[in-house]
Parts: sequence; structure tokens; C-alpha cells
Amino acid sequence: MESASQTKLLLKPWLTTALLVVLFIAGLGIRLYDLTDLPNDFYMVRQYHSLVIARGMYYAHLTTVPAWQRAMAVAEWKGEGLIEPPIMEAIVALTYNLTGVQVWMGRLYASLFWLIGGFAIWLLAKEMSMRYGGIIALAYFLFVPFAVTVSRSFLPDPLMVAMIAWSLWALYRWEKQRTWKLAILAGILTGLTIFVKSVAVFPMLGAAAGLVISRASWKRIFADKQSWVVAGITVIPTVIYYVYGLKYANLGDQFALRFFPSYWTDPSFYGRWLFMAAGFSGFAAMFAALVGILLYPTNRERFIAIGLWVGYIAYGFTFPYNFITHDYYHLPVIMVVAFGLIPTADFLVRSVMEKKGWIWKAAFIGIVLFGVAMQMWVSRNTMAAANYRADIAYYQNLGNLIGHDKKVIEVTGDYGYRLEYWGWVYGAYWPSTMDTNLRSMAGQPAPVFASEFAQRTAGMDEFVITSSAELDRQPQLRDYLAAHYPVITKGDGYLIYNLKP
Amino acid sequence: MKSNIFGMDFFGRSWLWKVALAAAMLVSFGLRMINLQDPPLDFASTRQLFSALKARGIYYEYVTNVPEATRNLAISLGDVGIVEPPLLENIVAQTYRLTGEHLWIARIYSSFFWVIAGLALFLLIREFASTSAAMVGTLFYLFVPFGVIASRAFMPDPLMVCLIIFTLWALFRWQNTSSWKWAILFGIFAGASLFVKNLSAFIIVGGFAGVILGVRGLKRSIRDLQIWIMGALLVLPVAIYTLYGMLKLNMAGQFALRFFPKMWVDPAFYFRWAYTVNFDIGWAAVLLAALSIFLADRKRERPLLIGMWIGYFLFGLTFSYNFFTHDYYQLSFIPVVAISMAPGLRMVFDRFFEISPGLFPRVVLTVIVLVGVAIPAWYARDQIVQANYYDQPAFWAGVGDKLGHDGGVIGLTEDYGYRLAYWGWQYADNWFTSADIGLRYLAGQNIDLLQTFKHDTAGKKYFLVTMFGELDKEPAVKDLLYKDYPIYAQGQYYIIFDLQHPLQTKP
Repeated sequence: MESASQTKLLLKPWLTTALLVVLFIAGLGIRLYDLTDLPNDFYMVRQYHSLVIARGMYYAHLTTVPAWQRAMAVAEWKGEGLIEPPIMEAIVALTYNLTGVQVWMGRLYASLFWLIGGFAIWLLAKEMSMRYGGIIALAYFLFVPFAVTVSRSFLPDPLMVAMIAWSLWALYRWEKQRTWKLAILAGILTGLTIFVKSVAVFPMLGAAAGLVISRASWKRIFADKQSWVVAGITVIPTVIYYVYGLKYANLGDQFALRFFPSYWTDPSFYGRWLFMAAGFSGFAAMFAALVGILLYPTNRERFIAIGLWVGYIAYGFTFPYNFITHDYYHLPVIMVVAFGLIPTADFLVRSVMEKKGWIWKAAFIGIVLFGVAMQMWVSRNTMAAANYRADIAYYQNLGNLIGHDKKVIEVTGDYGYRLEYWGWVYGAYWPSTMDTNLRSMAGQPAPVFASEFAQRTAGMDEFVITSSAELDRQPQLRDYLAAHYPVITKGDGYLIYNLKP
Repeated sequence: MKSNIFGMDFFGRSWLWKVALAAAMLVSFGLRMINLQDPPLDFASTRQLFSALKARGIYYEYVTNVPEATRNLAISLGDVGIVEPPLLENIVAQTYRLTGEHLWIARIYSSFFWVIAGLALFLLIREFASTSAAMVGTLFYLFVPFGVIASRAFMPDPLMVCLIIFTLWALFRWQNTSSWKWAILFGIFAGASLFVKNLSAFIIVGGFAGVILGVRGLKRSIRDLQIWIMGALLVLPVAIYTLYGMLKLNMAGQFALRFFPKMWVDPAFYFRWAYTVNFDIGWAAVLLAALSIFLADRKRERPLLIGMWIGYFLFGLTFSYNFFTHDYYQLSFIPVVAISMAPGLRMVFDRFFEISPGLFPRVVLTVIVLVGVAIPAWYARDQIVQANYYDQPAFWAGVGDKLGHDGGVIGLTEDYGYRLAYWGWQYADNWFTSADIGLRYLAGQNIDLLQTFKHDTAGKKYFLVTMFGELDKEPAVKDLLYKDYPIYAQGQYYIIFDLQHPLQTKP
């Protein structure tokens, strides 16, 4: 039962609602700032992967474009490896039916999903009778600059984190009320979360395990029918997807080159991990969230928090290479920290709000809004400094120059995505030094240049270079091309060799 | 109910906090000693070399075993002007007399000053809130990465912050005891602090005013002899020095190009301010500190906190331009944040002890605190280790040799020519950087670059360029140099134009 002090509303409901509305509007506003700029600002390759899929899905049924374009768009889509179920891409493709292809549509959906996830955090805090902590956690979740950047990216991760938040809310409500309806809801949401992106299993499994363990009774843990039903519903979507994916869609490929246990014995791995996690989430916020574990009033919340942290740590151990090379792998930590902030922030804010006089409430609201405005300023500056719109004309011209029917192989810094997307040139990709290093780290033998070159360029018309830096990192390739093939043309940032002189 | 083995504080046993504090201070000092001998270019290099030149100049006044010309040159190059009383420079110069000239000696002094102030900060927060809050506040002060990097620099600021903390501690002790001992100690510390660097006035006077107005009351204070003595001791040293400086040392120049009230009406100014604070100190810590002001005891704690914060805001408004361009202006805010967090931390700890009376939660809390310290400490260590300027002395010595250690040089070169002066033993007048030009535009001055070039290079032998990016930002000057003057010498990172033999390209 909630104590009197917990249920006492120190901020009038309309004021709380107004504050939440302001936070959500500001949260959406900052994400829509510079909306139409190209998604080069954050993990461009991953975002273009989704753009290519979405366009392919849309073009598959489009009759108003030239046949070659439709065929190429679909081929590009089918050529993309299956990583997660293309849910975001499918939603965006459906929207293209109304709006036509808009490169910012993914950004819009990702932003909306993140905001919806924020609402779940608020509801969760409310469910825990920690409204004030919920406001602070929500403000943190919406405006911490790393989250702003990632959550407007066309990736499945913003939806995944939002779903984690909703699943936590459902699990928590179920554990509190113990109804079959809520058990089924918790199972469905948790299952969908893991379906959206399988790595959500780490924080979700951790949190769910923490929740169940907090019952502190073997009987209540293992003999509880509802728990088994929740678990059963949870695994169904993912199991079906993986069986389908492994059998029909080369899903097995996504497990390759990800697991590098050798990192576990490298101290620098832990240093980089800590810097990244603390840097993205904020040193002090992370610290406050860890302290929050100790401030939860009951084991139910505390064990969820511990479970989330354990899940995040297990996630890092499972994907050590990606964890220190792919920033967005850390996105769930924002959710984990936001959850941990709830009790610390609630306790402090409640202490301020309990003071007599309106000035304290005004001061609290002022500090929250000031903090939000500052974080928005940081994010806004980052966005304002970037402008990638010139890429469109550049790659369109380059595509025209190369010819859309040519068979090309490329040395690029983006796996050829921009030339593919804007220039309508669907080329093969010459491995970068990073790719080669990764394969070497995985114990694969280094390819012999001559045979690799012969194999990869067989039947190709042109060798296109759009990253001179990458070419310089491969002097053998650079010198070989220069010595054996004539240059068709070169210009600002590109160099094209004729492979069939 | 379980018994609380340590009472309502983590450090129920007095030896425990002493050991923990000593360990924290030692570790934080050790952290600052990493990469000790790297040339001091990792942070505010201009300001550090300014002090280095001055200290060397003072030292060479005592040196007798070098050629007279070298001695005179060192003294002359050390005459870089007066900003603050060269107290630290004198201490370092006197140490050189025992050890020989080693630039890293200043790093040891600065680090020592910063770390030793941790003791006063701990005692202040302990009296303010609790031992646990004091430990966390002090750990924040000792390990916040910006503080670690900046507090090992050869500049008066670490000593100033040290003295500010001792002053605030004495002030709070005086507030609670009204004893003459603490009144006098406050006066001495405050006077010394303002003397070391007068910018400390904002925090100190702010805190003092807060206590006078919020705790004592104005009427009572006016009749209080202690307060008059405290005020007099606070003002006297800096007043005498400033008067002397204005009359004898041409110090008035240091007040120019610092005060830009028109920035106050620009919203971007406040956003940039907040951005700087976020970058240097961290928003979450600052927000906790701000929130804690409201949690502080209205009579006993809040006046001091509000006074310090108002002082800090006035500081920012007064030096609106320097607040963004000079990171180290934020240094004095670190102890303000550390002290301000105390009421909030106290409440969090009280809550923790209330709901977690056993030993295990305390062990967990200790681990969390240690992780919380280890992350920023490791981050700071990384920054320190990554800085590598060991090749700089040889480079500048080479450039100095090319230039001949004589007069007649003007340059677009790092740190206003201080690197060249220190390691190259070569004085050079400074050509404007783009930032200098921008600053003058901001102050309403207009510069005709070509006319100024003509004026500034008149009679000069060489124009040295080592900042090629800056030269690119001044295309007219770049064009002029390359078209009209022959290259006297050049290397990968420098080019020297011969100003005395211009090319005859014009008919």
C-alpha cells in the first residue's frame, strides 16, 4: 500500500500534465530540428541500410518509375542482409505510399517511438508512486544529447528501447497486480521487444529475472503458472522469426564476426566500455542511477534495476567488439540509467517540493526546464553544424557519370550506400582495411591480393574510388590499379578506373 | 530492526574517514603526477608558458654560471608583463635555485595546492552536512577530470582555488563560532586569495556577503568589529598591490578587452556558458548542486551557498568573453558545486542509512563510489597520458637558432610567441590571430590588416609562421607574404619570410 506521503500530490495535476506536455513537445521539437538533412550524422551505413530496404519495399509495387529503377531498388533491398525484422523499414515504406520517398521519414518514426518510450518511463515511475522522479527520469531520457542523436536515427534501436520501457511497465504492473490479463500483456510486449531487436533480450531477461527473484521464494519463482505463461509468450515471436530466418533468409550470417571473447582479457576493453557508457549517459547521472539501486523502497524495483545493469553488462560481454566500435549498442544504457534515476531524483525533488511556499515548486520547474533547454542547445548545436544535403547532387552526378547499368566495384567509406541510394549504381564492395582487420581478428586467413583482385573484379566494368583515404590505406591495391588500368575520369572526391580497357 | 553498525553515517569510526580521505588525496596527487615531465602545453598553454618565462626570468637573476648574454636574455624574455602578483613564479624560481630549472616543478606545486585544499573542503562539508557527504563532495573535487587536468597547470588558479576553499572553511567556522580566531583566519586566507588572483573576489565576497546578510543580518553586522576587521584583511593586500601595480607596473592594461556587457542581452551567451559548465563540470552534478540549495538549512547553510552562486554569476557577467575562451575561469566553480551538493548528498545518505542499515548495502555503496571515482580518474589519466609534447622544446630551439636569438622578429606563432621565447630563446612580436581580430571587432575596434601589417613589420627582419591554419584565415596577409617576400627558411612545421629583402615583383 502506498504511504500517505507517497500519494500526496505536491504538484497540482494540471501542472504535472503541463510539464509533461512541455517536455514531450520540446523532445519532439529538438528531434525534428534540421529534419530534412541527410542521415550522415550518426552511423550513416546503418541508416542507409534501412533506407535502401524501405525504398525497395515501396518501389516493389510502384508503377510510376522506370522499370530499371524499380528492379534495381528491389534488388538493392533483397541484397541487404537480414539483421532484424524490417519493422521500421516496413512502416516507413507504407508511409511512402502516402508521401512518396522522404529520407526523413525514418527519423520521424524513430523520434516518435522514443517519445512513446518516454511515456512508458513516466507511467512506470507513476506506478511506483515516484512521480517527481519520473519527471526527472523522463527529462533525462528525452534530452540527454546522446539519446537525442541516436533516437532520431533510422535504426531499430529507438523502437527497441521504447519497447523495453513499455515491457518493463507491463512486467512491473503484472507483478504488482498479478492478473492473467496483465501477465499476457507483459508476455506480448516483452516478446515483441525481443522480436524488434534480439539484443533486447539482455536487459529484458535481466529485468524479468530480477523481478521474479525478488519474490524470494523458490515456490513463487518456479511454481507460478503466470510466470511460465509470460515466458512462453515472450519467446514465441523470436523463435518463429529465427526458425524462418535461419531456414530461408541467411540469418545465420548476422552471428558471424561478433563474438570475440579475447577482448575479455584486455583491460583496455573495460576502460573504453566504461568511458563510452559513462560518456554517453553522463558520469554523474550514471553514478546517481547506481546509487538509486540502494534507494528503492522494495526489492521489486531494486532487483529490476540490478537485472537491467546485469543484462547490460552481459550484452557488452557478448558483443565486445561492437560495444566499443558501435556507439548505438549503448543506447539501452540510457533506459537503464533513467530507471535508476527515478528513486534518487524522486527523493530529492520530493524533499524540495515538501517545503512550504510556491517558490520551491517554481524553482524546481525552473531548474528542470533550464536543464532541458541546455541539453537541447547542445543537441541543436551539433545538428546545426552538420549539413549533408550536397551529397544528393554529388552522388546523382557521379551515378550519371558512371552509368546505371555498369558493373562496378568500389572502395568507399560507406560500403557504397550513398552511390547506391542517390546515384542508382548498385556496385560490389572492395573490403576496407577495417573489414580485413576484423576478419583477421576472427582468425580468418588474410586473402592473397592477386587472387582476391581477380575474383572480385571478374566481369566488372569499372573500379570506383570515393574514399582516397581508404585507398591510401591499401597501397597494394592503389599501386596495382594505377599500374594496370587507365583512369576514365577523376574529380572532386572520386576516381574511376576502367577495368575493361 | 537490524542494528546500524556505524550509526547514521558511513564513517561512524573516525579513523575510517581519515584513512579514506588520506588515500583519496594521495591517489589524486599521484594521478596528477602522471606524465609529469611532459611540457605544459596540454592545458591553457599560453598562460602556463607566461608563468614559465616569468619564473625563468626570476631564476636567472640569481644564476651566475651562465654567459651574461644568456642571463640577460632570460630576464628580458621573462618580462612578459604583469597579470597577477608572480607568487607561484617566485616559489618555483626559488625552487629552481635548489634543483635547477625544471618546468614540472610548477606542476607539483599546483597539484599539491589543489589536493591539500581537499582537506579543508572535507572539513567544511563535514561541518556543513555529514562525513559521508563530505567524502563524496571531496572525491568530486579531487577527481572531476577538468579539475585534474587544470589543477596541474603552471598558473595561479590552483593556488587561488586552494585559498578560496580555506577561506570558505574559515568563513563557515566563523559563522558557527563567532570566534576571533576564525575571523582572523578568514581575513588572512581571503586576503591571500585575492592577492594571488583578484578574480577570487567573486566567490569569496559573494559567500561573505551571503553570511553577513543571511545569517548575521546587516544591522548587526555593521556594528560588529570582527566583520570590519575581516573586511579590511580581505581587501588590504590586493588593494595595496593593485594601487602599486597601477602606478608602477602599468597594470591598467590587463583590464582592457575583458568587459563586454553587450553579450548579456545575447541568449547565446547564456547557452554557451551553460555548455562550458556542462563540458567542464557536468550538468548532472551542477543540477544536483542547484537543487541542493533548496534542500539546505535556510538559516545555517543557504546564505553561504546563495552568496557563492551569486558571486559566480557576477563573475561570469563581468568576464563574459573570457568565460568561454578561458576554461580555467570555471575552476573556482568546482568547489562551489562540491559544497552545494552537500545538503542533497546528506539527505540521500540519511535515506540510505534509514532503509539499508546492514553492512552489505554499505559495501555495495562503497563499490559504487569507487567505480564513480575510478571512471573520471581513468578518463583524466587517459587525457594526461595522451598529451605528448616532448618534441616541442627541440623544435622551437631549432626555430630559435634559425632566427638568431636576436630582435626583429614578428610571428604568427603558437601561444603568442611564448613557445619560441621559452624553448627558442627568441623574442617575437605577435601578429594577430583570427581570434584576436574577432575580439577587437567585438570591442568595436576596426583593424585595417594591410595597414597594420605595414606598420607592425616596419624595421623587422623576419616573419615567422608556425600556425598555417591561422594564416589561411587571413588570405590577404598570406598573399602578401608569399608574393612580396622571399622565404628565408622553412621546415615541415614552420616558414620564415625575409622581410628585409622584399621581392621586386611590382613594376
